[in-house]
Amino acid sequence: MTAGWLHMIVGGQPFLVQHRQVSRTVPVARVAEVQDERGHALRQVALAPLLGLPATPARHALLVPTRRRTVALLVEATDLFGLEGDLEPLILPVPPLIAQAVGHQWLGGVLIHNDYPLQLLDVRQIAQDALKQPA
Amino acid sequence: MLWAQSSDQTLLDQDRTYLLFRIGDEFFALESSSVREVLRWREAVPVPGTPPLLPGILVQRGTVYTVVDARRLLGFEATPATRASRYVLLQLEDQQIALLIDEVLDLVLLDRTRLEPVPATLAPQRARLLGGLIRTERALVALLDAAEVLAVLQAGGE
Repeated sequence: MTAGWLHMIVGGQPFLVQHRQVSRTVPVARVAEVQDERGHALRQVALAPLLGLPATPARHALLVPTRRRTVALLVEATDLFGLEGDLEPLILPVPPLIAQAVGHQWLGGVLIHNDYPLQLLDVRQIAQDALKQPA
Repeated sequence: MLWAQSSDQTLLDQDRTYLLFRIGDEFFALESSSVREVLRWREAVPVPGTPPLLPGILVQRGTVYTVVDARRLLGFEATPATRASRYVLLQLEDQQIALLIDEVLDLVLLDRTRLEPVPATLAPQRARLLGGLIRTERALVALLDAAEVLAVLQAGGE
Protein backbone atom coordinates (compact mmCIF):
# COMPACT_ATOMS: atom_id res chain seq x y z
CA MET A 1 0.00 0.00 0.00
CA THR A 2 1.39 3.42 -0.94
CA ALA A 3 1.89 5.86 1.93
CA GLY A 4 1.07 9.02 0.00
CA TRP A 5 -2.67 9.23 0.45
CA LEU A 6 -5.36 9.37 3.09
CA HIS A 7 -8.95 8.33 2.61
CA MET A 8 -11.46 10.24 4.70
CA ILE A 9 -15.20 10.34 5.20
CA VAL A 10 -16.80 13.76 5.49
CA GLY A 11 -20.56 14.11 5.85
CA GLY A 12 -20.96 10.51 4.76
CA GLN A 13 -19.00 11.06 1.54
CA PRO A 14 -15.51 9.71 0.83
CA PHE A 15 -12.63 11.97 -0.21
CA LEU A 16 -8.92 11.63 -0.85
CA VAL A 17 -6.18 13.72 0.74
CA GLN A 18 -2.45 13.95 0.09
CA HIS A 19 -0.76 12.59 3.18
CA ARG A 20 2.02 15.18 3.01
CA GLN A 21 -0.51 17.94 3.70
CA VAL A 22 -1.33 16.40 7.08
CA SER A 23 1.18 16.38 9.94
CA ARG A 24 -0.81 13.73 11.81
CA THR A 25 -4.31 12.58 12.70
CA VAL A 26 -5.65 12.36 16.23
CA PRO A 27 -8.94 11.28 17.77
CA VAL A 28 -11.29 14.24 18.16
CA ALA A 29 -11.40 13.64 21.90
CA ARG A 30 -7.69 14.44 22.08
CA VAL A 31 -7.56 17.54 19.91
CA ALA A 32 -7.86 19.84 22.91
CA GLU A 33 -4.66 18.33 24.30
CA VAL A 34 -2.66 19.28 21.23
CA GLN A 35 -1.01 22.68 20.94
CA ASP A 36 0.36 24.45 17.89
CA GLU A 37 3.91 25.68 17.38
CA ARG A 38 3.29 28.73 19.56
CA GLY A 39 1.75 26.76 22.37
CA HIS A 40 -1.80 27.76 21.50
CA ALA A 41 -4.80 25.49 21.27
CA LEU A 42 -5.53 24.40 17.71
CA ARG A 43 -8.19 26.07 15.64
CA GLN A 44 -10.82 23.39 15.12
CA VAL A 45 -12.90 23.39 11.94
CA ALA A 46 -15.68 20.91 11.21
CA LEU A 47 -15.18 20.02 7.56
CA ALA A 48 -18.66 18.68 6.70
CA PRO A 49 -20.58 21.98 7.13
CA LEU A 50 -17.74 23.84 5.41
CA LEU A 51 -18.26 21.62 2.36
CA GLY A 52 -22.04 21.93 2.53
CA LEU A 53 -22.40 18.30 3.54
CA PRO A 54 -24.60 16.83 6.29
CA ALA A 55 -23.08 17.29 9.72
CA THR A 56 -22.12 13.91 11.11
CA PRO A 57 -20.27 13.11 14.32
CA ALA A 58 -16.55 13.69 13.85
CA ARG A 59 -14.25 11.05 15.24
CA HIS A 60 -10.93 12.12 13.76
CA ALA A 61 -9.02 15.36 13.34
CA LEU A 62 -6.53 15.98 10.56
CA LEU A 63 -3.82 18.35 11.75
CA VAL A 64 -2.96 20.56 8.79
CA PRO A 65 -0.02 22.95 9.19
CA THR A 66 -0.19 26.30 7.43
CA ARG A 67 2.23 29.22 7.49
CA ARG A 68 0.26 30.89 10.24
CA ARG A 69 -0.78 28.01 12.43
CA THR A 70 -1.95 24.42 12.47
CA VAL A 71 -5.63 23.77 11.90
CA ALA A 72 -7.51 20.69 13.10
CA LEU A 73 -10.01 19.63 10.43
CA LEU A 74 -12.67 17.48 12.04
CA VAL A 75 -13.87 14.56 9.92
CA GLU A 76 -16.00 11.47 10.37
CA ALA A 77 -13.23 8.98 9.72
CA THR A 78 -9.85 8.67 8.10
CA ASP A 79 -7.57 5.87 7.01
CA LEU A 80 -4.57 5.21 4.82
CA PHE A 81 -5.38 4.77 1.14
CA GLY A 82 -3.57 2.65 -1.34
CA LEU A 83 -4.04 0.70 -4.52
CA GLU A 84 -3.21 -2.95 -5.00
CA GLY A 85 0.32 -3.52 -6.19
CA ASP A 86 1.49 -0.15 -4.86
CA LEU A 87 0.25 1.57 -7.98
CA GLU A 88 0.25 5.34 -7.89
CA PRO A 89 -3.27 6.74 -8.14
CA LEU A 90 -4.03 8.42 -11.45
CA ILE A 91 -5.56 11.75 -10.51
CA LEU A 92 -7.70 13.20 -13.27
CA PRO A 93 -8.31 16.95 -13.55
CA VAL A 94 -11.51 18.36 -12.13
CA PRO A 95 -14.04 18.61 -15.01
CA PRO A 96 -13.78 22.15 -16.44
CA LEU A 97 -17.41 23.09 -15.81
CA ILE A 98 -17.12 21.98 -12.20
CA ALA A 99 -13.83 23.79 -11.65
CA GLN A 100 -15.38 26.93 -13.04
CA ALA A 101 -18.57 26.65 -11.02
CA VAL A 102 -17.21 26.06 -7.54
CA GLY A 103 -16.35 29.16 -5.58
CA HIS A 104 -13.17 27.76 -4.09
CA GLN A 105 -9.84 26.13 -4.89
CA TRP A 106 -10.33 23.09 -2.70
CA LEU A 107 -10.50 20.41 -5.37
CA GLY A 108 -7.27 18.90 -6.55
CA GLY A 109 -8.67 16.33 -8.95
CA VAL A 110 -10.63 13.12 -9.21
CA LEU A 111 -9.52 9.51 -8.84
CA ILE A 112 -11.72 6.82 -10.33
CA HIS A 113 -11.68 4.05 -7.74
CA ASN A 114 -13.97 1.04 -8.23
CA ASP A 115 -16.01 3.15 -10.67
CA TYR A 116 -16.49 5.82 -8.01
CA PRO A 117 -15.21 9.40 -8.53
CA LEU A 118 -13.13 9.99 -5.43
CA GLN A 119 -12.50 13.71 -5.06
CA LEU A 120 -9.07 14.91 -3.96
CA LEU A 121 -9.35 17.72 -1.43
CA ASP A 122 -6.61 20.29 -0.91
CA VAL A 123 -6.84 20.42 2.86
CA ARG A 124 -4.00 22.92 3.10
CA GLN A 125 -5.99 25.39 1.02
CA ILE A 126 -9.09 24.61 3.05
CA ALA A 127 -7.18 25.26 6.28
CA GLN A 128 -5.77 28.53 4.96
CA ASP A 129 -9.20 29.73 3.90
CA ALA A 130 -10.72 28.65 7.21
CA LEU A 131 -8.20 30.78 9.09
CA LYS A 132 -9.43 33.83 7.21
CA GLN A 133 -12.86 33.33 8.73
CA PRO A 134 -13.73 34.37 12.28
CA ALA A 135 -13.29 31.58 14.81
CA MET B 1 -43.04 5.71 -36.22
CA LEU B 2 -45.42 7.94 -34.28
CA TRP B 3 -42.67 10.54 -34.10
CA ALA B 4 -41.21 10.16 -37.58
CA GLN B 5 -41.74 12.81 -40.16
CA SER B 6 -40.17 11.26 -43.24
CA SER B 7 -42.82 9.59 -45.36
CA ASP B 8 -40.61 6.63 -46.05
CA GLN B 9 -37.52 5.06 -44.60
CA THR B 10 -35.12 6.64 -47.11
CA LEU B 11 -32.62 8.90 -45.41
CA LEU B 12 -32.81 12.27 -47.09
CA ASP B 13 -30.15 14.97 -46.93
CA GLN B 14 -32.35 17.09 -44.72
CA ASP B 15 -33.07 14.25 -42.34
CA ARG B 16 -30.96 13.86 -39.26
CA THR B 17 -31.24 11.44 -36.40
CA TYR B 18 -32.28 12.88 -33.07
CA LEU B 19 -32.67 11.52 -29.58
CA LEU B 20 -36.15 12.42 -28.48
CA PHE B 21 -36.79 12.99 -24.78
CA ARG B 22 -39.28 14.48 -22.39
CA ILE B 23 -38.97 17.09 -19.68
CA GLY B 24 -42.21 17.70 -17.84
CA ASP B 25 -44.96 17.73 -20.45
CA GLU B 26 -42.73 18.99 -23.20
CA PHE B 27 -40.66 17.23 -25.83
CA PHE B 28 -37.11 17.94 -26.84
CA ALA B 29 -34.58 16.50 -29.23
CA LEU B 30 -30.81 16.38 -29.42
CA GLU B 31 -28.85 15.56 -32.54
CA SER B 32 -27.60 12.02 -32.04
CA SER B 33 -24.07 12.80 -33.22
CA SER B 34 -23.33 14.41 -29.86
CA VAL B 35 -24.92 11.60 -27.82
CA ARG B 36 -22.54 8.90 -26.59
CA GLU B 37 -24.83 6.86 -24.41
CA VAL B 38 -28.02 6.85 -22.36
CA LEU B 39 -27.84 5.74 -18.73
CA ARG B 40 -30.40 4.80 -16.15
CA TRP B 41 -30.56 7.30 -13.33
CA ARG B 42 -28.26 6.84 -10.38
CA GLU B 43 -27.34 9.32 -7.70
CA ALA B 44 -24.63 11.71 -8.79
CA VAL B 45 -21.68 12.26 -6.46
CA PRO B 46 -22.04 15.81 -5.12
CA VAL B 47 -19.13 18.20 -5.50
CA PRO B 48 -18.82 20.77 -2.70
CA GLY B 49 -19.63 24.26 -3.86
CA THR B 50 -21.43 23.51 -7.12
CA PRO B 51 -24.77 25.19 -7.90
CA PRO B 52 -28.01 23.14 -8.15
CA LEU B 53 -27.70 23.24 -11.96
CA LEU B 54 -24.67 20.93 -11.58
CA PRO B 55 -25.75 18.31 -9.01
CA GLY B 56 -22.46 16.44 -9.18
CA ILE B 57 -20.33 14.04 -11.18
CA LEU B 58 -20.54 10.41 -12.20
CA VAL B 59 -18.28 7.82 -13.80
CA GLN B 60 -19.18 5.73 -16.83
CA ARG B 61 -16.69 3.47 -18.66
CA GLY B 62 -13.73 5.15 -16.98
CA THR B 63 -14.78 8.70 -17.82
CA VAL B 64 -15.89 11.40 -15.38
CA TYR B 65 -19.04 13.21 -16.50
CA THR B 66 -20.39 16.52 -15.20
CA VAL B 67 -24.07 16.09 -14.36
CA VAL B 68 -26.31 18.88 -15.66
CA ASP B 69 -29.92 19.10 -14.50
CA ALA B 70 -31.81 19.75 -17.74
CA ARG B 71 -34.92 20.82 -15.85
CA ARG B 72 -33.05 23.66 -14.18
CA LEU B 73 -31.19 24.48 -17.38
CA LEU B 74 -34.44 24.93 -19.31
CA GLY B 75 -36.24 26.78 -16.56
CA PHE B 76 -38.49 23.99 -15.34
CA GLU B 77 -39.23 23.48 -11.68
CA ALA B 78 -36.77 21.02 -10.17
CA THR B 79 -38.28 17.66 -9.24
CA PRO B 80 -36.83 14.42 -7.86
CA ALA B 81 -35.68 11.79 -10.30
CA THR B 82 -38.05 8.93 -11.12
CA ARG B 83 -37.62 5.42 -12.51
CA ALA B 84 -37.94 6.89 -15.98
CA SER B 85 -35.22 9.49 -15.48
CA ARG B 86 -32.14 9.06 -17.61
CA TYR B 87 -28.74 10.58 -18.17
CA VAL B 88 -27.94 11.46 -21.75
CA LEU B 89 -24.14 11.32 -22.00
CA LEU B 90 -22.84 14.01 -24.32
CA GLN B 91 -19.46 14.86 -25.75
CA LEU B 92 -19.50 18.62 -26.36
CA GLU B 93 -16.08 19.79 -27.55
CA ASP B 94 -13.76 18.67 -24.73
CA GLN B 95 -16.50 18.43 -22.12
CA GLN B 96 -18.20 15.24 -20.98
CA ILE B 97 -21.70 16.03 -19.80
CA ALA B 98 -24.42 13.82 -18.32
CA LEU B 99 -27.69 15.60 -19.04
CA LEU B 100 -30.37 14.54 -16.57
CA ILE B 101 -33.76 14.33 -18.28
CA ASP B 102 -37.19 12.95 -17.33
CA GLU B 103 -37.58 10.26 -19.97
CA VAL B 104 -36.00 9.08 -23.20
CA LEU B 105 -38.62 8.41 -25.85
CA ASP B 106 -37.13 7.42 -29.15
CA LEU B 107 -34.43 7.82 -31.76
CA VAL B 108 -36.03 9.49 -34.76
CA LEU B 109 -35.41 11.08 -38.10
CA LEU B 110 -36.52 14.67 -38.23
CA ASP B 111 -36.84 16.72 -41.40
CA ARG B 112 -35.00 19.96 -40.78
CA THR B 113 -36.73 21.66 -43.73
CA ARG B 114 -39.77 21.74 -41.50
CA LEU B 115 -37.92 23.66 -38.81
CA GLU B 116 -39.96 26.51 -37.34
CA PRO B 117 -38.48 29.45 -35.49
CA VAL B 118 -38.59 29.64 -31.73
CA PRO B 119 -41.55 31.82 -30.68
CA ALA B 120 -40.62 35.31 -29.55
CA THR B 121 -42.84 34.83 -26.53
CA LEU B 122 -40.71 32.02 -25.19
CA ALA B 123 -38.68 32.79 -22.07
CA PRO B 124 -35.21 33.97 -23.10
CA GLN B 125 -33.51 31.44 -20.81
CA ARG B 126 -35.05 28.60 -22.80
CA ALA B 127 -35.21 30.27 -26.22
CA ARG B 128 -31.46 30.70 -26.30
CA LEU B 129 -30.93 26.95 -25.95
CA LEU B 130 -33.23 25.95 -28.81
CA GLY B 131 -32.39 25.66 -32.48
CA GLY B 132 -36.04 25.64 -33.54
CA LEU B 133 -39.24 23.64 -33.36
CA ILE B 134 -40.46 20.74 -35.48
CA ARG B 135 -44.02 19.47 -35.59
CA THR B 136 -44.33 15.70 -35.60
CA GLU B 137 -47.41 13.54 -35.85
CA ARG B 138 -47.58 13.42 -32.10
CA ALA B 139 -46.37 16.73 -30.76
CA LEU B 140 -44.26 19.80 -31.15
CA VAL B 141 -40.59 19.02 -30.54
CA ALA B 142 -38.02 21.61 -29.51
CA LEU B 143 -34.53 21.03 -30.88
CA LEU B 144 -31.88 21.58 -28.25
CA ASP B 145 -28.81 23.34 -29.62
CA ALA B 146 -25.85 21.45 -28.10
CA ALA B 147 -23.37 24.25 -28.85
CA GLU B 148 -25.57 26.78 -27.09
CA VAL B 149 -26.04 24.42 -24.16
CA LEU B 150 -22.27 24.30 -23.74
CA ALA B 151 -21.94 28.07 -24.15
CA VAL B 152 -24.54 28.70 -21.49
CA LEU B 153 -22.92 26.25 -19.09
CA GLN B 154 -19.53 27.83 -19.66
CA ALA B 155 -21.06 31.20 -18.93
CA GLY B 156 -22.22 29.92 -15.59
CA GLY B 157 -25.65 28.68 -16.58
CA GLU B 158 -27.12 32.13 -17.15
